[in-house]
Amino acid sequence: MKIHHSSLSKTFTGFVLSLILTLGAFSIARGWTDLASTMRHVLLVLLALIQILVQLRYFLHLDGSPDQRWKRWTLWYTVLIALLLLGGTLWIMHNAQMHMMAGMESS
Amino acid sequence: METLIFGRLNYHDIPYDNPIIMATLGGAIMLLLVVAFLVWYHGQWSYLWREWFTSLDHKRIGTMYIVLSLIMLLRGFADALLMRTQQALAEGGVAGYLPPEHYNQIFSAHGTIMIIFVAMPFFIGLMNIVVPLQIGARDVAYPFLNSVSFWLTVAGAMLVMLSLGLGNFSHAGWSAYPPLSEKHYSPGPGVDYWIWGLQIGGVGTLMTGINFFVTIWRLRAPGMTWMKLPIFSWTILVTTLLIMLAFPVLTVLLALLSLDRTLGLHFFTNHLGGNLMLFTNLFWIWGHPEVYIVILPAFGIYSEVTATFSRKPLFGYTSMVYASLAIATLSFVVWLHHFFTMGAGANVNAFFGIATMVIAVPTGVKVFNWIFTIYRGRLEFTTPILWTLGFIVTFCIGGMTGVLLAVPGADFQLHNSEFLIAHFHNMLIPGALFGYFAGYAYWFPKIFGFRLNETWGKRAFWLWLVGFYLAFMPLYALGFMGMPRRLVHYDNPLWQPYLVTALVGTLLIFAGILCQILQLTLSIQQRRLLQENTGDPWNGRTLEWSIPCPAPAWNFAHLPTVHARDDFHVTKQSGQAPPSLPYSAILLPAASGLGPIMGALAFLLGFGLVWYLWWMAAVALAGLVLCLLVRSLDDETEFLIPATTVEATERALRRIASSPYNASQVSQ
Ligand code: HEM
Ligand SMILES: [Cu+2]
Repeated sequence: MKIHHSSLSKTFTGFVLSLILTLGAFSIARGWTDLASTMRHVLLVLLALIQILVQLRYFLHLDGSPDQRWKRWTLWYTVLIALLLLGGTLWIMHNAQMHMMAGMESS
Repeated sequence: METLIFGRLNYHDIPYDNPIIMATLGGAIMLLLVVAFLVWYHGQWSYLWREWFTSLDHKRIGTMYIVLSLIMLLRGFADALLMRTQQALAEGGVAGYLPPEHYNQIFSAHGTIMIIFVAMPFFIGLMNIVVPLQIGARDVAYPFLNSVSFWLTVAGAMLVMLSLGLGNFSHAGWSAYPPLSEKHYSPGPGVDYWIWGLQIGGVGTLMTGINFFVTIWRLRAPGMTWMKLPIFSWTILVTTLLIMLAFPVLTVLLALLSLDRTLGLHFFTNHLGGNLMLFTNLFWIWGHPEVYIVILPAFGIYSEVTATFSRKPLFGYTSMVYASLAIATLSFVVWLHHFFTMGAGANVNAFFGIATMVIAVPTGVKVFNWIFTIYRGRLEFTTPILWTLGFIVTFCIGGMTGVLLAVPGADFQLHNSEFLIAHFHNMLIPGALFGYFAGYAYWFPKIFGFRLNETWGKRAFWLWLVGFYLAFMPLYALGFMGMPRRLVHYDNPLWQPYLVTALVGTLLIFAGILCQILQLTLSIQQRRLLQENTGDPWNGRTLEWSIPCPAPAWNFAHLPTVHARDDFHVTKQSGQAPPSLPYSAILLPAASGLGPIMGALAFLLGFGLVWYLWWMAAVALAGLVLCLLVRSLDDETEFLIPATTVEATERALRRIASSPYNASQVSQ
């Protein structure tokens, strides 16, 4: 199979972008920047979200073209499940944490 | 210097002072050598390599998956037999014959092997064989990836097997909860064997999931709209969806645990900010969908088998499809039922308890559909249908105990007791294994051109069924009597009779397995007698039965066009002979040695990581990258089969040249 030139340069752009985003996240986590803790958390989540979008766009070649209906269908299902798992995890872990804390205070 | 070369490997890691292990190991090595010698003696090594190991034919890869699964079943069952014998003996003053450290490894290995290296490869093998045939395709979407997936699974299985004779296996259970599985409490190589065996096999599974999702989505025959897709392929589509969504969680989880263990990070440790409860949470985010991953394909098999042998279309096809989709989606919102007792509040437990009970609804829909398919059908009591009937009855019992466990209050009592062990074996053995056995008997002729011996198949079924009830029903009672799981020894004489009964049941299952081995050898001997000439031994309904037995390498000489659900059945009914079209040349994927080579490299990678042989891991990783590069630059990945060969083979396989379908069988 021959790879089209345009797709190659697209992959390369994606590669560079995701590298920059990763380094950015790493430098924040390592404390190379002088930011407040909440700010760092927000930035990390933001960088992660952009990373996802970059990878979908440049590596999975998702765009709005009409022959991609099935790709969008599966994408939305994935988003739904990811939200369920993330939300559920936060809920469970937070709830468990609260219960353990309460136990420690009363003892 | 020595650690640089040998890592933490030491000759003390060979358990030469343990007679049980050494005898097993010696036996296994002897057997391997004898088989290797016999293959060499008959000059078959190059045949095996050329036609099987390097093959990209989905039917061959599928067959190898099933062979792997059956071998691992013997290992997993041997572990079960050891545990059952130990528990039947070890009461009061009797210590039994297994030391605790060894017993812990046995149940950990048994659980891991049965789920990851028996159930998974068995259904993946069946789907490899059947899906392309059912959807009218010549191969899967990514034939080379398919071979790599298989060899990665083999590499993972071999790592687990190797732990028997070099070092030890994990003692932390199949779920390997921290902090026990952390370096501090498990410094040895055992947990690392668990991690890397699972990780390598899991990556293979993930790639298979992608492969078959794309295959079903893109390679269906013209005219095969979604509601004409055979039901087994539907359940596989849903299964692959679950694999793609759940397995990445396992991959990340194992990566984080291995970072904790090898680089001293603190994701799941109980100090320095680690949170071991998050491990439990993530494990079951994968673990719960995993049980549906192994059960849904079996549901598909039961549906096919029931329709075929009831001589009726499947009752409620559409509801079957939607039930599968509902089960898949719901299976992502119930994972907490595995740790009701971990410490979350009543609201959380109530939500997940109710969500769990809701799954019983679509599952119940399926059970009723099977029953209504049988109702007023002309049921033929073949081996596959016996497995199905045994499943329907037994599975309902297991389902009801599951709903019971979904009540958080009840679970606080039954959690980690023998009741739970009874429940999930009650789901997994009839729910998954019986289905695979049914599929094995049902599709065997499609691959080998002859049927399996029915008499021994039926004997195996009855032994498995009765054995199952004897082996696992007592465990429900033991759970109510308060017996916890994972016990090497106990001090309650009241439990012993139940455990002895369970041992008797396990021995019956053993007899069932022996019947299956006998069935296979006998069938091979009687293959002339059992030969299948029509291509359609069961008067089947779906496309895989429209081609000869054994299926030729190209599956379909002419790609079919589909007009109806159960298209082949409708064609037979119409009584029209298929038009004789001219044959043309066919392009097929060429064999590639890179699959097995990559499997071997992955094995070395895992081995290096387990034993801290960093140079070996680095070399193996570089080799893997190199293999991918070589493959990407390879331009000759396909070969052409000339039309004359296609024609000659097709004529030879359809031995009754004039009427392709045996007239007596088209009476429906
Ligand atoms: C063929 C007959 C089988 C027998 C006799 C059997 C027996 C056992 C026994 C005695 C245990 C230990 C129970 C305890 O902790 O007290 C066990 C655990 C387990 N079995 Fe089986 N088993 C069989 C088949 C299977 C199959 C087919 C699967 C999965 C597909 C399976 C999955 C497991 C798992 C996940 C565990 C839990 C391991 C752990 O505690 O970490 N078993 N089995
Ligand atoms: Cu579950």
